[in-house]
Amino acid sequence: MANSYWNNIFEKNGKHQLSLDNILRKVPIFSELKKGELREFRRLVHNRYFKKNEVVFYEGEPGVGMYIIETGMVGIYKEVNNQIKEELAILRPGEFFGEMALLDESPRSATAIALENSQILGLFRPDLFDLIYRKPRLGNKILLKLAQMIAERLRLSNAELYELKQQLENSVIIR
Amino acid sequence: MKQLLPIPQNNGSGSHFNPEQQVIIVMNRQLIRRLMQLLLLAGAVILVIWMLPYIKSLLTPLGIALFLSYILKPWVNKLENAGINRGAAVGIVFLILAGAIFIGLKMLLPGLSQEFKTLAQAVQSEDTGAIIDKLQATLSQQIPILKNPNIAREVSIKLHNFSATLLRKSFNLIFAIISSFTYIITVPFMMFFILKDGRRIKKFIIQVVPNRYFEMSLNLFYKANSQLGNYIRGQLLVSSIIATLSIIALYSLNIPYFFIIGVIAGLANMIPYFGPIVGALPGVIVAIVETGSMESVIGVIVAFALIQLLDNVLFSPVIVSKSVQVHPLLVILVILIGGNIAGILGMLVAVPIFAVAQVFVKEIIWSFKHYRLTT
Repeated sequence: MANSYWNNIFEKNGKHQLSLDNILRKVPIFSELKKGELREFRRLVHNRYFKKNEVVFYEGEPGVGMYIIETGMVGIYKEVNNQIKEELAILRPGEFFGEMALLDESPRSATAIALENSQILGLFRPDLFDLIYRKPRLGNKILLKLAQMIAERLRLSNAELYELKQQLENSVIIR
Repeated sequence: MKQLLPIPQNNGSGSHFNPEQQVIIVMNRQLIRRLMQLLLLAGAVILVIWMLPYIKSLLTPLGIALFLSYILKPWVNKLENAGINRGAAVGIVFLILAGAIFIGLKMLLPGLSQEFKTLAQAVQSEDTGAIIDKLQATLSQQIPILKNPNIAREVSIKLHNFSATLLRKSFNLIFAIISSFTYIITVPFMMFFILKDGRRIKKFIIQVVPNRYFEMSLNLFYKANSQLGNYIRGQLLVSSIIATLSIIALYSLNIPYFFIIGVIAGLANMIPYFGPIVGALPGVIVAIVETGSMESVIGVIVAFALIQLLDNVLFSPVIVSKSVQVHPLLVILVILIGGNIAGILGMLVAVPIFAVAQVFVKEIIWSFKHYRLTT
């Protein structure tokens, strides 16, 4: 029997979860999670709403976790003496930032500011560590992906470093 | 983009008015928001004060449920780790606990009730005067100064007064036992949901924190929570070890009521400094009254001293978290205040509560140093 009142609610709910799952799957760390694992994972994330111009975190603050943009836009900035010096990136729905803080409490390397009213998902280190202890299989899957992502970045940084070194040596020879 | 820009403030406005108009509107909005927040806060405080008499009776079972949940949580997590659903894991832990309590009571109750019976009979039959005489005779043999008969009279008067008070108090105790039966239902009920949905409850609580304080609060919440858990579990483990060792020592010294005295010594051990003395006293008194020999009294004192030495050198430093150490002077003050507020129970929980408060204050100070909360 069709009941418009309840049907609507279920449809809305289902749709929201579907889009949330799609957003989470865009993040490399969660791309290979199964449906059940994703459901378990959704229980861990915190839904946060940031207004336009609201600061998500400041550079230098201890990092507690990563953020995934569900709706809206976030800018990442480098600071000098509490003043924004350089725009590093503009991030949109499905993109993420602050993932290094999932591993340790080291200070944030840049400031993140919501550029529009934004719905942002937060995944925090204590929750991840708790998950690793409670559900080691799922925890390991996430950790492995995180490690792969960081390894990839390290490879890129090494390549960039090598290129810069070459450029520097060339410029010295030319002089 | 290599220009210097000020960091945006959280005024939440993005409209296209002229700057002066915009400033006034923003100020008004902020003022209204502040006022609303203040009103809400005042309302919440009034509501809590008004509700306090009604919810006061709920606080004790909730506190007990929280305390016991901290002890059982690692077992539930272990079962979940083995692939069992959280709800089922809590159910299994409850069943095992219920079974253990049932078997324990079945095994210990006849012995315990016998111990209580003989203890009661000893007090009733021998009448207090005889016990005092025995006590004085034993003591005066060893310490000549105590031969003064006035001491015996004074002690016996004190003891008679004490037994009268005990009778009065036992009526209160009956009422307390009846009311504690409701705890048998409410505490496990609360424990079940704290263990099963604890994470969801935590998430719900932390959700209300504003964005700027969110990461800081999350950090604070988890650090304090894990330290409190470690502290409670550590203390309980140390108490169990002390109780077991005391029971073994008293049993091998042939001291009657060894089980009850051992359990009391274990529980009292949770109170720093005073605890071990309070815990050893019943053992020493029973040794004097029942055996009458100075050797067994000295044996009991030596046994308790050795157990304390082991506790201070080995158990407490290894087991109880080092992070929640409190200065000895503060410990004594805190215990006295706890005792003034809630008697023996107050003394038992004073140091853990103070330790948690200390962790909170330390973390808050750390957070204020590391987070930019004012900008």
